Amino acid sequence: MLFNSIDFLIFFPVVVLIYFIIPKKIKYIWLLVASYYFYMGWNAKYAILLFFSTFVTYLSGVAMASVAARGEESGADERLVIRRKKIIVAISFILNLGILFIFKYLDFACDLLALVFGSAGIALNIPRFDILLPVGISFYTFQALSYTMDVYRGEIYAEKNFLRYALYVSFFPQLVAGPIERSKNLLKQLAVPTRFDYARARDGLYQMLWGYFLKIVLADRVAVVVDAIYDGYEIYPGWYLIVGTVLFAFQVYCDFAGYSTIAIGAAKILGIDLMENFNAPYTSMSISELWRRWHISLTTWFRDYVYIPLGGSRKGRLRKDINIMIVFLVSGLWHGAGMHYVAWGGINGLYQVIGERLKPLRTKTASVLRVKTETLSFKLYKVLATFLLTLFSDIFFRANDMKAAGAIIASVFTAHNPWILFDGSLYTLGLGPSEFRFMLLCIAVLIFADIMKRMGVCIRTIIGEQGYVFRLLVLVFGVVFILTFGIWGPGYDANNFIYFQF
Amino acid sequence: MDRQDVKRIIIRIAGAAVAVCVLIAALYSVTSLLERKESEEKYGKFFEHASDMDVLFLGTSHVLNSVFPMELWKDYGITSYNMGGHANQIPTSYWVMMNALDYSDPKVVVIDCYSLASNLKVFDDFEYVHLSFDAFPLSITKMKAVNDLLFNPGYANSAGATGADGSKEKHTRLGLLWDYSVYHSRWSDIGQRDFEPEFSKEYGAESRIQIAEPSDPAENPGTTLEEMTVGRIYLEAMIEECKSRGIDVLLTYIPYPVTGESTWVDINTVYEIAESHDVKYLDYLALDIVDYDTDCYDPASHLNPSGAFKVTDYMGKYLLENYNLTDHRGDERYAYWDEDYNVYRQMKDERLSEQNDLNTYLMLLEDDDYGFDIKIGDAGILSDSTTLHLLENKGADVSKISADTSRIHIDGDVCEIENEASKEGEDRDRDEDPEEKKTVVTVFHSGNEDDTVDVSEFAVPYVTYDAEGQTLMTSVAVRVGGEETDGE
Repeated sequence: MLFNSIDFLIFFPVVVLIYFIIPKKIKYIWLLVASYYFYMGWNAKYAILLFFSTFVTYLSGVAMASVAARGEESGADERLVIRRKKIIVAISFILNLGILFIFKYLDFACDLLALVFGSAGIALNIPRFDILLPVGISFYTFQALSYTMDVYRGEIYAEKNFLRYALYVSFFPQLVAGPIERSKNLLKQLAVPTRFDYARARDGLYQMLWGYFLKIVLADRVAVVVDAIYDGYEIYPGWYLIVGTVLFAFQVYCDFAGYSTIAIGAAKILGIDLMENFNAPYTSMSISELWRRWHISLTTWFRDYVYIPLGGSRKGRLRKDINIMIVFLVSGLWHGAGMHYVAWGGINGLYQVIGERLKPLRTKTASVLRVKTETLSFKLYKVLATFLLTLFSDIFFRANDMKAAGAIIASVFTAHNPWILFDGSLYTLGLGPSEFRFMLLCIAVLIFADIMKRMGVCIRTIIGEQGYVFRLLVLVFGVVFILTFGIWGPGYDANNFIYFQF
Repeated sequence: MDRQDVKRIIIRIAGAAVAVCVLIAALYSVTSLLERKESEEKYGKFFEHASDMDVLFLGTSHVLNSVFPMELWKDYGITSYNMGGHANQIPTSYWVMMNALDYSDPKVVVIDCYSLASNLKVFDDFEYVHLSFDAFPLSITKMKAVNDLLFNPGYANSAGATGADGSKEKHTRLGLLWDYSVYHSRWSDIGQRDFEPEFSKEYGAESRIQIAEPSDPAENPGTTLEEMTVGRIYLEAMIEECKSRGIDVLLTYIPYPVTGESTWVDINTVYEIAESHDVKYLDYLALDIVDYDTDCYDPASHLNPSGAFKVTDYMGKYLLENYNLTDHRGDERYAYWDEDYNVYRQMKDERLSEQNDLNTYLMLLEDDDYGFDIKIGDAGILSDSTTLHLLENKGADVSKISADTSRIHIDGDVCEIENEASKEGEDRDRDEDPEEKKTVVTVFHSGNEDDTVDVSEFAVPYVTYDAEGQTLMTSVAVRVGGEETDGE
């Protein structure tokens, strides 16, 4: 079930209503049923995978608790207990990542293998498996695995209630597109359901509205132009691709942040606080800062479960650089089974490694040139520079493959056609003049909102403090605005109403 | 929970309820604003006077183009509405009728039986379905209609139309029941019409203005349908529904050059259906009412107004003779029909000056509301067979028309033809002052020559001569100052 579907708009209020009516003891069971119903709306069969992942990681927690308890009783050597726990963690990781590998990376791995052998002159005939990627598998797998690690580290108790644990893995607001939650946050909240809070529910509703704006008004609209340009990059060279890449940066942000915001708002209505996933990322003044503001749940997951176990920054500078590269290469792979995703991740890793290495030089240069680094203009320069670096890596993210990415980069730097910005060419890419300008206006609104957020101004809170009439108008305006300007519905073609043949 | 808590909860619930009501009101307003207005314009007059309709006409665009309710009012005092729809399959017409009957209680329902053999419930291009249903408010009947039409609709491609110009709209119940889901993207197309829709002056009918050369009709094989098609099932359901409500049914088949044997099979089958259900069948194809040479809008489907006037006139007589209908002319309660007729008449008057060629102009004058006087400046116009045909249909004795004819006056049964002998040695077709070569048509409302409606000038743009100086080719006379048409 998609958030932007009529099904969800009926499903969600029903779930909320019943949730707050039924007794506390069975609230989590109701949410579990709703979550599986939500997930099975895509493909009922893949709920089995979700269940499998849940079951394995649940058992891993129970098993580790049992090992620890028996170890304590028998006074066994702590190293033995830790070793046994490690085995349990390894099994959990292998099984879950194995499923992820089969469904997401098998074809990619086979292609890579064929390429490697092919370059050595050996032709491999590996069949393609064409397995449909189960929705959300990357998200819930990581969420489930984080529980295993947290139990291993003693940061969370082993949940004995299987159904409650299953809800932690499958909680529908964040099941298919994050935020990737931590057991310490989510599992504990699910154990202690709260009463309905009007102000909190209202805040959650406003958040959902903002999320829908980002997703169906902005992201889906921008996608029309981006798809036209990137899918036809051979006929849209130079400045078209620059425009397409800039727009893509907003598309991917709005799409992802939109979904996350809806998820956070929906959970808030239910009385659950999910972690923030995007914090005005394009106001960042460095790539490192960007990754502290972008897809925060994934970045922190990699930090806590890959970077830190690898040693983080504790094993010397070179090792730190290697760890950063590993994290970002894997992060790239997480985003998609394709070399261009790996390249995107690698570039972002390189940005940080090189950025860190060049920091002393940059600081020295600024000092020598007496650059006023605290001024607004310098900060704007850093924001712009960060954005430009992001754009370059985004080419790899959006392009369909490495070849396309290479061709696009070459075109961006060699093709010369800036006139397309002025002669109306941009209105031929799927959005007419009104729609295109409206899109730019919405992007301006987004930038304004993010600047406010960066400055610590929460517009939602300000609205919440106003009187009933104002809040009502905001709500009604917001809903009507989203429904009118959003990309949804059975579709409409203004050019068609030619019925004179019939 | 104390009283304060209860009070707070009640206030909150009330606040939420008010918010929901305001939201619904706001959505209702934007739905009305953004909705495509064609359907509202099509049915506007119907909803204004639904309870006064004695006759409803149902069917496809054949009905739309061929039955003029305003003419029925003028000539027979019959109150009617043309509920035909573009590409309306019979099941679609069934549901248009059912929705209309929620607002109207006619004495007679006339059903054109085109597409009887079809197993489609609804045309797969939803632009047409919207046109037929958007204006009907949401109701149980409308929900039933949408549900039924989209259940096994009969077309192969359920994701969208298959036609080259087809709609890209997905076929959903939501799209038809809450058309805002389709039309919300119209925000960038809003125009004056969205604030001030113009209701159909023709009371649902749509004139199609053109003269086409008709196709050769196929022979009637004389057979009937063997299978029970979806079209037939729903036609019979329409008849039974009307009977259960005490409404008379007239089946009809609007005429056009039938080029397919299968269509003849349909036409023949309607006789069986009419007999088995004891209803009348007005088969225009068995009558010699229209003249395909002048009355076709396209080669093998629709009639132009010239054909429609004839079909409508015959329909009016037939309805009065066979059904218990009242002539409401003179009844003060129906005075608004006269007002609406005047608006319709003005529309007819104004469209005359929009026609660019003489034949189309004359075709529109095949209307007993008009008489005209033609001062012929160029005998070349009389070499066009369609022009002569139109004059003949209007009542002129073409045997008296020659190259010397200088004036033709027709008003009702009166026809005057004046000839002016050419001066000796003078070639009227050559080297004459262009002003004198113009043919001037003065149109007036029939019976009142002083009530001039339009004066238009036409001229033959070019004439080709052979080596002997004989005319080889003359193009159709076009409006002076208007666009040139192609030669024959």
